[in-house]
Amino acid sequence: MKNDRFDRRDFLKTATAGFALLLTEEELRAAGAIQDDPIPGPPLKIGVIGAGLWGRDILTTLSRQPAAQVTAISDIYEPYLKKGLEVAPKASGQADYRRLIESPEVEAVVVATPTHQHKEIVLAALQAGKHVYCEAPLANTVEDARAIAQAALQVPKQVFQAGLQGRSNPLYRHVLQFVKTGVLGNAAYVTAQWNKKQSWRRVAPTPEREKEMNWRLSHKTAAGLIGEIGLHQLDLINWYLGGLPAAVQGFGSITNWNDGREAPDTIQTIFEYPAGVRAVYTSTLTSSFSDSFTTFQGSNSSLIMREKRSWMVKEADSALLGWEVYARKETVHNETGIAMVADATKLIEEGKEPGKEGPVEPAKDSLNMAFEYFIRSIRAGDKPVCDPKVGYQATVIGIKANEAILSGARVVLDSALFELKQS
Amino acid sequence: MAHVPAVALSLKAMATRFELLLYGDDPTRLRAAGEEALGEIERLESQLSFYRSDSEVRWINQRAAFQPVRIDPRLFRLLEKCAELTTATDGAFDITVGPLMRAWKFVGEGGAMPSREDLEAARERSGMHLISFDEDTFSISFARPGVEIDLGGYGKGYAIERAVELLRENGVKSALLHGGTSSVYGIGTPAKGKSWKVALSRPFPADPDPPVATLDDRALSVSAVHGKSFDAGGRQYGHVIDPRTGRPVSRALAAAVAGQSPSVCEALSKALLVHGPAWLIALEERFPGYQASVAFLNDVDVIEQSGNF
Repeated sequence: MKNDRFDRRDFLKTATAGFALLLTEEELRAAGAIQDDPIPGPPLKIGVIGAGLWGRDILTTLSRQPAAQVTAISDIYEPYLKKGLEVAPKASGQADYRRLIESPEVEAVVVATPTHQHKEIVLAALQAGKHVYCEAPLANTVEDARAIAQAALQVPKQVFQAGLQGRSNPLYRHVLQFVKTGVLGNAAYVTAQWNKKQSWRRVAPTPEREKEMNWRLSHKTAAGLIGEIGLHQLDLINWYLGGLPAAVQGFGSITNWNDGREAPDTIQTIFEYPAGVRAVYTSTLTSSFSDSFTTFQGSNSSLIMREKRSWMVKEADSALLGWEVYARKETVHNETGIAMVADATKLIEEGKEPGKEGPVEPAKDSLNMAFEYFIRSIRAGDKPVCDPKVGYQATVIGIKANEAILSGARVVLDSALFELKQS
Repeated sequence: MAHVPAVALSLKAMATRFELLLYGDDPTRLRAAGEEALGEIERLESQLSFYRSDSEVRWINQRAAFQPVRIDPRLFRLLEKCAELTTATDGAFDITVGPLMRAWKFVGEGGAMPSREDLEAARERSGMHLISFDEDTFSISFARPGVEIDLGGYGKGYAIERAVELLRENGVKSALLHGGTSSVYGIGTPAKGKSWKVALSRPFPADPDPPVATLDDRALSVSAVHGKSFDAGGRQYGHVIDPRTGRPVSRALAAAVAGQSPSVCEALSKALLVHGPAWLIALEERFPGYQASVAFLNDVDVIEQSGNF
């Protein structure tokens, strides 16, 4: 810094350790933070139906996307509509979703309403020729989920993406490459949990509105913890194991939130995957212990997957992997784990240590990436990252698992259940 | 009516602990209301965090020097508000002070006098005038690399503000909530007793009685010179930077501001710590309804308090 002109390169060279947060432009590109490959075409005009908590998270994500323009928001509940419009002040707001769907200012529709309302809205949107991003689960009955997926498959020129945003998670996609090369060895079993101490209950000014808002607590309007939340991790298991379960058993009870609800606040389920592999999924709203993760255990190594961090723990007798020497090691579950860092392939090739040089966690979260992929599918014709069939299958597994929980019976998942007619 | 215990909820966020105490006759609904408020605090943390890899603030800090960055319009308004507060505090509240904090090694280190060059370089990268706002696209950009925003001195108050709004919307009539005990709000009045009363602890003088703030539908924010102070050139320095001079504040030890808005209180308590007792008059003139006190070292190094608590 010899003169007044600020030289970035000099600055970076002389920067103290505290400035490590600031990456060079090249590093930012490498980390995907600055896009080399902008999405072609004008911003996609998007209408968002449902401006509840999740709908507003989606609106927030879209507000940051240069390739997206939210032109319309719909919610039957006026306070939600108002809050939604704070995130997208230039959008039009309407109570009736049909007006949004009919609008020529809407090219793509995001459906973020309560699950049991998806079918009517998605079918209308597809009918009107719109692209659709439908939140997961697609529906709370197999019939509705099938109707949605089948309708989406009938209009292949319209993009349909299911909201299983794990499919867009940069970390999950990165680790998948290792799974495909067989790092697990022979898979033994999978354990997964989602724990949060939370009542799941909502308040509203009137009893009627409050009932509508608490749709998740009723069997009629929701598929329970496993169908509403668990399906995201079940989809990761389907994805990594490359198969679907043939049967499920489950248990459920109300252990803490005994407030007149129907839905269990605590569940345990066992899924029978091919080759003798079982997945044990547990979830509770009573205890937050260790929150959420999925662990794949195999004869060569185990993979611990959290939303933003992942580790590989190797068996002592498994072969050394070429890149292992560069990897960042951390203690996880009293073992030495290799930190899996998204977008690290390039760093490894350059002989750099992922996680030391560059961030450990992805710069963009899954939801952000999910919409980037969605818009890219529409504008650039890329293959959808989570198609109707993937969305349908995870939805159905969740619904059937909820049946097993509520009935106490082992529910067989016939392969015909997962089939859809391709147009 | 029998005594109804409070519904208590808490959350670790923004490097501290938030607690809500909610009073009323339907614990199930109170808890649901509290959960929504905590959910909003959690959401704000993930958006405003300086350190989280996928926070929106991090996103901005990494990019805004290279290209305009589109942001959540609510965050855009929040940053505009911060800019207004910078003006209203004569530059003493400033969310771009990070490079100066690092130059003085106040980030994770004990503090040290920077070289003249390093201090100059840090000053070039600090100041709200380095941030431009584009209302049409809700984008912001930085004038040069190295500029960064850090809402550490504002986020907690803002989170409390949003939590209060949600609790009110959900029908909560009596509550006390705080973030890390430095940002506090009382809704209505307590079930027992007349008013929410919060005493200020040291370094505010406790003799004969500690100063007390009454928080009925009011906020309180306290800022103190945190961390150890260090000596350089015969002077003691604390870990608070005066954004206008790029130098640490040396005499004020703690500042407290009470008033309607938790986020404004938070910003004003930071500004008052920078300005010291001389600014109390300006504060009360510019922010009617706000109450303030400051604890400082006087000429003979004895702690004194000035203000109206």
